[in-house]
Amino acid sequence: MRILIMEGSLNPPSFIRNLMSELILQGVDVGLIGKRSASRFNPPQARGKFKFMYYPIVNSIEQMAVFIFFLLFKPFTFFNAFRIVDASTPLKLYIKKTVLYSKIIQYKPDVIHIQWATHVREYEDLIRSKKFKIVVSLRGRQINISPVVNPAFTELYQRIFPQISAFHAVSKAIAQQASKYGAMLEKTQVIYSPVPDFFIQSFCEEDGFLRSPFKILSVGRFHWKKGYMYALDAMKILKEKDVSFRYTIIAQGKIPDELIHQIHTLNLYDCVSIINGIPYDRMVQEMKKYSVFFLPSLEEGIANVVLEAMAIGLPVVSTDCGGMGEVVIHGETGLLVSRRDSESMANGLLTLQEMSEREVTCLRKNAWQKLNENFSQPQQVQKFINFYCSIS
Amino acid sequence: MKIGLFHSSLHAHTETFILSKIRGLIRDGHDVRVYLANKSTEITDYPYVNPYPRRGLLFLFVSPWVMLFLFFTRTSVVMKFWRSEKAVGKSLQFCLKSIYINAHVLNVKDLNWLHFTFSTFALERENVAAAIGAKMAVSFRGFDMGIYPLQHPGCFSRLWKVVDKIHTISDDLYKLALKDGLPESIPMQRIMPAIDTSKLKIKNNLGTIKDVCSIVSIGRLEWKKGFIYALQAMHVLKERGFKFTYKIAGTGKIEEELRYAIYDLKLEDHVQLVGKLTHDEVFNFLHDADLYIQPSVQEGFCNALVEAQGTGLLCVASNAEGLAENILPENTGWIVPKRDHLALTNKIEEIIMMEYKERSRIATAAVTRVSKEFKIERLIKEFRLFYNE
Repeated sequence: MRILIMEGSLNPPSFIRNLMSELILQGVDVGLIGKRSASRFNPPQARGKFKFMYYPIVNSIEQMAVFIFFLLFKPFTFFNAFRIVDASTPLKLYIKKTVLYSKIIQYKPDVIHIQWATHVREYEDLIRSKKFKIVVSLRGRQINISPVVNPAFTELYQRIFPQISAFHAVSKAIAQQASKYGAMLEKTQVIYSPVPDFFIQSFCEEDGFLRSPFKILSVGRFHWKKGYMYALDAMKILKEKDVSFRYTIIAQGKIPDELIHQIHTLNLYDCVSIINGIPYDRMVQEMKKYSVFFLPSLEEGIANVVLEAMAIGLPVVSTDCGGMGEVVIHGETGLLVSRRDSESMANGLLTLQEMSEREVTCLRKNAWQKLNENFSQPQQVQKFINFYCSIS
Repeated sequence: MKIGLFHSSLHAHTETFILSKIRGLIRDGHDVRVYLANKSTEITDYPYVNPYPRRGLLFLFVSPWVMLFLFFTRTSVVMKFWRSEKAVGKSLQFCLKSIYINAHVLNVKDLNWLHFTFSTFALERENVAAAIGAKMAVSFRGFDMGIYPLQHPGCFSRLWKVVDKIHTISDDLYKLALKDGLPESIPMQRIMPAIDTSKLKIKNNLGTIKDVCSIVSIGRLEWKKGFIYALQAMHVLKERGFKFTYKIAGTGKIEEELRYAIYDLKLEDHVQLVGKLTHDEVFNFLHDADLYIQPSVQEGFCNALVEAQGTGLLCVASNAEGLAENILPENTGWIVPKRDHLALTNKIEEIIMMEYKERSRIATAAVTRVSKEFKIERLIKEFRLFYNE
């Protein structure tokens, strides 16, 4: 089988890399289309099963050379690609797209998997041509926020989604949400993000619960949807209650003014710290230093980092946003708190701290079991393969 | 007196505060000129001096001549500036760059005051005023004291050593500066902003609230304005069964966040983002409303709040920096703790339930105070004193 992944960058985020690596391991040919980036993803043990294609080609000489190559040596492919491109496309983009579609036709993928729903706009003509089976992933922001704040996306989705062969949703909640825009539930399959084995294997039942000092961890980029504002308000409540704790945020990039200002005005300097990014392979080691993983988000398809925390046995306190309630079952595999509610967040964290050792161990074990049974990488990727087979 | 104001750029939206100050001082017979940090392309009626070009072909052509001219005509000023920059450990390259960037100020003769309208503009320009023999004044604004030093601790330490006089728009900002290391010995004057009171459209029945209470806010859609807390307050108000509409006028970076919050909190029928309004539209917008809220988490002073009080709206603001001086609590409006949506909700509820007489008393007091204390004439008088003392 041959799957073509359209991502936008040749250096995709970890969950897409995990998927591609595992697909290759299981004998699937994988192609990746994306922008040229400083570093490029190289799957381990690819042995000719991986192919990447730049899009768009920025260098115009290279662009023309490929264009002429297809025109002269692969006229049939060229002609087919040429016909797919929408007639109203401006000339420059027309050439670019003809080159891209020629490459795709030559690659002969069984399924094209578009990773981000907003990218359907770019490939509308390809989708409409119905020459390929196309899968679109339904992920957090693209479905939950973009169409809500910008009606142009609602219109776009409603126009294009009925033309798509099938959808992959990262959670049931997001499948439900996307159905409002024409992504029919019958065509949608929920496959949770695979969690790499090294997370699941690092679980150790004997790992004690770090009650004091109570170390709270959040991981995720600085974006309003991550809800750090509410998290800090919650920390203020904990501080007022004289709870001894330390809150750490791991995120990459410049700390936004609003967070610094909030830490300053709430006088949280002594109990909040921010770490500027940590490499993915060191994540397990780092996460194990904490008592609890805390997700204060306002919106998530499903937060992969929560799955990872559960896999290594870190107790989770999460807001009930998006699909989080499907994995974090309150009192069983973690604790759920209300979103946009710092009081509820603080209470959730306190409840966890006050739990008995037995209760926490039970929580951790349940979470790990759920992950191990339903989210392991080979298992989830097998689901992807079955899914691709069912439509190709 | 020859006064130079150092400002970022002049355009149609430059605060009334600055423009009326310039107008007033010129009317008084002072020679006022605005030295800009960035080139202004919009022509304004005010005397201003643009900086020399900083990029492109024009820069390559002009810069050597500017530097040569400055070295020959203002040798002592340039040398003095150079020495003082060197004394604080700046490199030769930095000194040359600094001389060029400030060349439009360095070649001014007999300036009495060089006044930086934001303290952050004075950073890396600490030695300019002394070099040209002028006294140096800086204004404290919300961003200067409330936000910038948090990302850049100690950034003002050089400024505190050289500044001659401080203008602050609120006492709270001055206190923040004292905490940041400003010596108390430096003279300070608080001059509150002013508005064009003649344009206000004062409401007829002060203190009345319509059946569906019309709540409004004005401000750039930025995190520091705290609109998220306001939306949460509206969510609670809705749950408590109050009838209201809430409109926010302004545009900005957090529009997406606010739109999502409106959807998430199920406020689509109650809350509206009306976008940017022209100055005249603002007065109508305020005139049609009952209640004004300013939920900021950081704020220098807030002119919109003054305009709302002047129109006769019932005003609730957070206790962020200057707001508690903008409103006289329980007298011309109400103050609630910042970052606390429940306190805001409770206060709005209290006002809606309040006796008409009490509401009318507050709104009347607010209108009277604004028309007396926030007039442009007062501002000009105080600035006259500021430069003369």
